[in-house]
Amino acid sequence: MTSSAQTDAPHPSAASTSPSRQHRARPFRDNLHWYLFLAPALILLLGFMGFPLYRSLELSLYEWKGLLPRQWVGLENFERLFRDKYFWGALSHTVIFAIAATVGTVGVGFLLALAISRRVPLHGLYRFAFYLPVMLPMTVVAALWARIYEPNFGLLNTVLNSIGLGFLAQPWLGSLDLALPSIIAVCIWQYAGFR
Amino acid sequence: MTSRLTAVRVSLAALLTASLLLGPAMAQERLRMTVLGGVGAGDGTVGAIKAWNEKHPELQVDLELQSDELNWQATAPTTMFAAADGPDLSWWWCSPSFQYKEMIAANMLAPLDDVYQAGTYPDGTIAYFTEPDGHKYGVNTDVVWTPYVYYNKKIFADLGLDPPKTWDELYAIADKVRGAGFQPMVTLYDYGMVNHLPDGLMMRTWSQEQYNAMLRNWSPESTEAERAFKWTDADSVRLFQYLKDIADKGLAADGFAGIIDDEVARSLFTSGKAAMYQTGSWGGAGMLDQDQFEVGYFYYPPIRDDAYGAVGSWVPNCFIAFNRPNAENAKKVIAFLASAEGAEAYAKASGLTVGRADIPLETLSTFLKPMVAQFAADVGKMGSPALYESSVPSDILNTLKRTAGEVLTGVITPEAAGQQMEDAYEEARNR
Repeated sequence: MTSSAQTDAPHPSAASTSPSRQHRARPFRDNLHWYLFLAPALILLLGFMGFPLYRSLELSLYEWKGLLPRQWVGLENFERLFRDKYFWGALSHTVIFAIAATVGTVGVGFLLALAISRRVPLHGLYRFAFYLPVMLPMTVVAALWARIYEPNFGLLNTVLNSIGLGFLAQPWLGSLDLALPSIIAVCIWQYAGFR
Repeated sequence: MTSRLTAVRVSLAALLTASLLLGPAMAQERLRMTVLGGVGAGDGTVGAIKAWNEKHPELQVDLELQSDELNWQATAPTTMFAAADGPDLSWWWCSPSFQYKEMIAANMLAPLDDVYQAGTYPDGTIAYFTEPDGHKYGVNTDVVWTPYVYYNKKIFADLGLDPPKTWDELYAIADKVRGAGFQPMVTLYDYGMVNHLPDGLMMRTWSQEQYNAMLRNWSPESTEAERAFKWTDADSVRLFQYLKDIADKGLAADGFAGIIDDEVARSLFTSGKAAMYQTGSWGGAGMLDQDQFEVGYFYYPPIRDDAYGAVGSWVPNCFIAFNRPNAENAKKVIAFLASAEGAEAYAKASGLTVGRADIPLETLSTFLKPMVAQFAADVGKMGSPALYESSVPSDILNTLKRTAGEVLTGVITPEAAGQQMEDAYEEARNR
């Protein structure tokens, strides 16, 4: 009886902890080691992406060049940005680039994958060759293609001229109509093998 | 006993020798200095600091050459210079685009007024470097001239061409050169076509009074008289018309807007594919030393004698000292760099002219290439106006670059370009 009374008596801590909270707390404790595994990545993400993002948003409300005290300007920076015609031009170029590069890399990547899966001759070499550009740093790719596209001695125009297709030679990066497609083509060249 | 005495004597001798050897080394002080490497200013600073270090073993300067791959010139003030362990002194661009004014306002720079008392500088240079508080925080190192054209003498001779004196002559040369299968003139797009070229055009299109006003009248503090000059004035619109003509009349190389690497521009010239290459005087003497063919040069745009007066230094290239515990020693080093001896060491190593006005042309001619010495003489004759690039805030400069680009590529008319610039000035005044 005594023992039963002792058993039935509410535990001091149970008075302040509902069954549902206990239910939630236990799995957390049981799974603590998994959260610990996630912790380094989360800390890095928060430290190197979350916090800088928050700081960027905070600083966007100030006029500040990094040395003198900050001046609160509210949304003035955004007002100026939205009034800037170059911003809208840059934004539209970015949207076009994002759509065309995504469609291009996926589409060309699919065709390349198809060729490899069909085991066309030298498919092993192709697999390596298609993936090679992915491993190149962007700075190397930019320097390489700037020279390929160079209108006077660049590889592309030189090849076109030498095979009798000189009429197709263009100032690839110096033309309003061709600069964006030329850069999109580089992105597709670099990342199609990754898809 | 004897061996003990010997040991004591040897130890004493060793201690004495060590103290003699280490004494001066322990008394030696060291300073840290930064400069952008791979350019004339870097070479000049290396030469001048070497001269200082040889002469002053008690105060040695450790020179740290910076690479600009991480945009050092844009980020150094807020990072390296503002850091507690930053350098004691530096070569720098004393202009609004490079946070010079902000560094002064943040009390990061030490006044260098005493240095100016030791030398003679052009009035315009002194005026440029004198701040509203009456102090000078930078000492000018050299003078540069942006618009130069280097030309291939062989191509010119083969085609019977002479260096032009007018725009029409220059366009006629472009026609002939194109007809012979060469590109006429190559220029780096970003810093050349849409930045230094408009800067040169301003000096040749506006009067001196107008030029000085347009460098300042974007500011809310500008005077009514300065604001009387506008970007929509005929003289200003004509500047954009020149840009349009350069593109429309075929003077610029094919695909000029895609020439975003100066090495590409220069190699087109040095490989003989282009007849002319445009850059600043800093390319100068080095450009003339081509193995493949003889190189000549001419001023571009053509000079207008009536538009000149001694109003300032072309680019405010300077030495600065930071307000740190070593500031007094840093000032001593800058005083040497600014002295005739230091300035000559800088000029010899860089091939650039000096900022001081009291070194005679005969002396300069002993160690500068004839072209640079002639340039120094021209600076003395024509004066040295401050560059637009060095005088306006970065957002105004960016608007000019974009506007010039739109004119060159035919997106807007010269009149619309003038209005666009005037709107940017108006916004800056009301900010």
